[in-house]
Amino acid sequence: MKLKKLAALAGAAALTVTALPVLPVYAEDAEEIVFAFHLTKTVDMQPIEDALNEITIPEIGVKVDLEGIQMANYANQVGMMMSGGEQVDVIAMLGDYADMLSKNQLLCLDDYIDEYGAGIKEVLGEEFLKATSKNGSLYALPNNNGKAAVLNIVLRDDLIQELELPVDQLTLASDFDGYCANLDLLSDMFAKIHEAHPEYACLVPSAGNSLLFDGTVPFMDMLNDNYGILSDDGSTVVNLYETEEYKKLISYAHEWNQAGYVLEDATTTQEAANTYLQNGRAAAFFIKGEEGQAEQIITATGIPVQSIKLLQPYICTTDVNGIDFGISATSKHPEAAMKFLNLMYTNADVVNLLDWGIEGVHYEVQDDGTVDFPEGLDANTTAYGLNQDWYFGNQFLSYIWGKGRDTTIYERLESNNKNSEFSPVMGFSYDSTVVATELAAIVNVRNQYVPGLECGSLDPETDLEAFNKALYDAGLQTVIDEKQAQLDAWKEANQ
Amino acid sequence: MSNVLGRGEKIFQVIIHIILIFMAACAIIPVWVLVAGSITNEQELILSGYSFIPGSISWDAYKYLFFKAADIVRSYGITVFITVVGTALSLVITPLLAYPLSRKDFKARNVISFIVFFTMLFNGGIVPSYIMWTQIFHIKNTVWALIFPGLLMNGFNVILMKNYFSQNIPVELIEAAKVDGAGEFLIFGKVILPLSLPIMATVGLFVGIGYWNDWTNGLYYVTQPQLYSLQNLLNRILQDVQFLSSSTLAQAAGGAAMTQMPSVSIRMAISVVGILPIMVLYPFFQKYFVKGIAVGAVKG
Amino acid sequence: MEKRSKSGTLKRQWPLYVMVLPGLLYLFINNYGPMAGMFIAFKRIDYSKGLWASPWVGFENFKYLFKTGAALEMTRNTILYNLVFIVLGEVTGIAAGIMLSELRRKWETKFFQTVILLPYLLSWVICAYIGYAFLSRETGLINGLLNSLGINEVDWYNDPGKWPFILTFVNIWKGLGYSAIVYMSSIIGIDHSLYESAMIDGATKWKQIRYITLPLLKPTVIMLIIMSIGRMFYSDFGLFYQIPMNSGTLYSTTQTIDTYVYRALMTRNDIAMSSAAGFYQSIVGFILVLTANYIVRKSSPENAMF
Repeated sequence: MKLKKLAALAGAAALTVTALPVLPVYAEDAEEIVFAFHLTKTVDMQPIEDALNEITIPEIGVKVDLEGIQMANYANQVGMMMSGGEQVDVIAMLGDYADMLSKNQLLCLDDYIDEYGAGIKEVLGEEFLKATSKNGSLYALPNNNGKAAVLNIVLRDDLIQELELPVDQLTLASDFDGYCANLDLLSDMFAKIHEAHPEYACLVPSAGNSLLFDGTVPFMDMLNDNYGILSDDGSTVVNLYETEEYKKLISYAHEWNQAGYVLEDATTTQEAANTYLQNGRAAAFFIKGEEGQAEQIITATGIPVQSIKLLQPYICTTDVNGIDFGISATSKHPEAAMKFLNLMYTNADVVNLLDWGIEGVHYEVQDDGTVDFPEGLDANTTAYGLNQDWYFGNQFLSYIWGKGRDTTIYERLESNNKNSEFSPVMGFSYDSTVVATELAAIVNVRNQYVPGLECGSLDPETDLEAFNKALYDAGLQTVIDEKQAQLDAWKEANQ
Repeated sequence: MSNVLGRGEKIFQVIIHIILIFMAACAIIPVWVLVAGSITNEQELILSGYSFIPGSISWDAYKYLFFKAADIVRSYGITVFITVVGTALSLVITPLLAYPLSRKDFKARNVISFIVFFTMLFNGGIVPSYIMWTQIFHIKNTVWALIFPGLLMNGFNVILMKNYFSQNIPVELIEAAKVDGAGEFLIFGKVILPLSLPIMATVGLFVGIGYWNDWTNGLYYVTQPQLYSLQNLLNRILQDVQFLSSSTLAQAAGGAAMTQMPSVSIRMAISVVGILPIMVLYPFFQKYFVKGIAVGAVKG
Repeated sequence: MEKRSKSGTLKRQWPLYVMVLPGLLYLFINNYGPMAGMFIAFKRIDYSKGLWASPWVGFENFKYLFKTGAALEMTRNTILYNLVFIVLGEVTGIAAGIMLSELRRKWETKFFQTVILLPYLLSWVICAYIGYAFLSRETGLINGLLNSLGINEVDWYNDPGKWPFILTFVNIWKGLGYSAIVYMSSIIGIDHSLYESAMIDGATKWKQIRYITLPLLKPTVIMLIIMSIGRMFYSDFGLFYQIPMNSGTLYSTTQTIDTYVYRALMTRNDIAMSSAAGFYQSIVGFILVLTANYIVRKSSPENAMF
């Protein structure tokens, strides 16, 4: 009897589970492709997919299957799908272009771009496409958004007013000395804040448990991964962690930490800087950002802040190819995939659909040209609200979210993209396959020391030396030599 | 059992109570901190941390979950379904495999025992498993993907059961049944199983918890939110928070996305919602252990 | 019985073969099939060619596991932690199992069993949050307590010396409910007449445990130990990665093979290298188990696994 009941229960549950919405029927001749991309929250993509196909099927004869994959598991999942022979056609990349290229996951786009993706070339321009090319062949497409992000200091506006902090003295530094002058100014400001409001942590880490944005030294090309960077002469690969500049930066961190400006749990916290800001713990943090950064933070946290750029932009390969879209090496529909990619860079309806969902359902166009939630919806209740406008294809075709936001921002971003200084080895990406063994050990050493150094809890005098010794023991020289060899070969071919 | 406790027995009872209360406190205090965290005002959590008694109670986290009630109810449904079906299936095939292995007269006993044991030492990893299940059995994005891969039966439980059978079921009982003319299936169903309630309850509990807490199958084999189990939902959130906080690039690119992440108290609240049913149901389930004692007593 | 012919046994025992069939089938699909995929460990994966057609690279993918002093440190940590966990885990599990089965009131058994199982139900990430609630430098409960007692704060996440104790405690805390239930189910199965006759003979509780319960638990204990030995080179990733909050200064006492592999491959998503790590751990475990089983077989053959 009990078993029967159980079986009935199970059967009923199975019915509810499998009763998925009935899919609309499409024209049979549409070629079907699978688009794998990162999702930052769990949403039902089905309505978006249906709406998307209402555009793509008539327009290009392609039916797109949206395969949103959880961000933290993305690279792993795509690798499994490809090795298992599962269909994947268009794949997105978030910082893993070089890795995917080295494993031959990406199809060479040369045969398809001119015929099916002419619009993309026009949108991105030659300079940016260099970042996703190897030996003159194109392997992926960078997304089109503001690439000229630089280090900002985000400061609470109420503190600036109250303590009359001299933020207007901060300059857009054009060299390392200018940057240090900014940091000196900031030191004084932190001192003032700390004195007047000891309840605030003047500084909280903003990414990867580093105060200084992941060890990035301004005006130096980190050459993909920080292990071996480009020296000032523009051709030699040197160890970042032995440069004077790096030592100077972590000395600032150490000084601030010793003075008590830094969040005590800086090296271990997993909370975002925004969370500390919102809840009245953080007075300031460094973050890499472009125009409109302050507005975004204010919208997110409700705390008035100023976000002040500290540097002139300096664009490296990884700034451009951080987010890319490519075609899987296993794809059987490369033409269709390219046609769809072309739409994602040239068709505003496609971009807005992916960014904000369906008009009238997930968003409403406002009088000032921005978009915002329809009546009665908010961030908690919306069924879509991915907020991934920085991600899909061509951001400059997208609406701007948030009523009252500055609508001229895209013009400024585009002009910054064009007028920035570029790294002398723009376009160089390196393949770490042959030094994978060394890198495995090096990454572990890095994780051991860098949070402590860059949050200032370790001593730049003694611990930096130990760090460098451990790096060389792990095989850093081999990595640097390999990178140098690849850079020399690249220069030979490209200059 | 005599009702008059001896002096030694009394001291013994006092000592085990003291130890058990200590163990229970160790277990319950952290869980209380978790519950308290889920109803603490977010600002207090960030500024002054967790406490045993929240200074300012806030139901925001649960209100947020209430907005997501449809998702959560559905994921509860999925979790209950896979737990019930998975455990039931497991309690069919596990004893069926374990029982013959406990029979000393079963010829293939050693070979099969080794086959079972070997699976506990070696595994091919996720990639070959993924290919096996998706390409040959096509279970991706079906509810079976949450039931079959990995969890249905494992060597540990088989060996646990086998040991129980060989220790607690007298060979004479089986021999006697045979003399009465009972076939192997009848012996298994009428003699063995009724004597095995404690081990069935134990293995059932382990398998059930395994299903209840599993999120990896959902992670790899399911991309449709309709099929997310509760733990899958929770772990997607937790993992993304971790990924975002450690990835410089993701943060630089998606500073805005960072704000989408549920607050600490919401993460706490979801895990409270995840363990609550087990806390409520377990005491009921527990009676099968007690029944086992009764059976043992009858046997004596 | 031995006299009967093989075919006779088969004829008599065919129902037993039918019984094992579904379970074996599952093991072949779920475990043995994917095991064939271990060849990945010897390949350099080229996705455009597919797994099988990718080039063979010999032991190249294993090299990173033996690189530099880190290899020594992580192997040492993995083995030492496992030894401590096996010994303390068994002792506490048996003790808890016995105590639970000795409780006289039903509600007490229910209550204690439910409560000590609670930690087992929490995911590691949540455990890490709870750990952080206690140990955080700024806002931790323990530092708060130390402060109010006038003792200096401890910077837990930067003090590697304390972590062998913390991790051992957390591991036992989380696993106790599970192992207590394993032992309880064995104890409950013990024939009660044994205790009753012992009581009539005037045996004290301690003597009953010493001479009845423990000897009867011996097979289970040996089995669990042999199985743990097979996992000697594995470590619980959640325990060693999440609980120390990935704090770099703690690596000397928290780095194990699994955390090293995870960190090494975090930026390079290399399935060949991660397969190699699994392969290495399995082989070592296999050798250790065969050795342990051999020793058991020599001393008490009835308790050997195979």
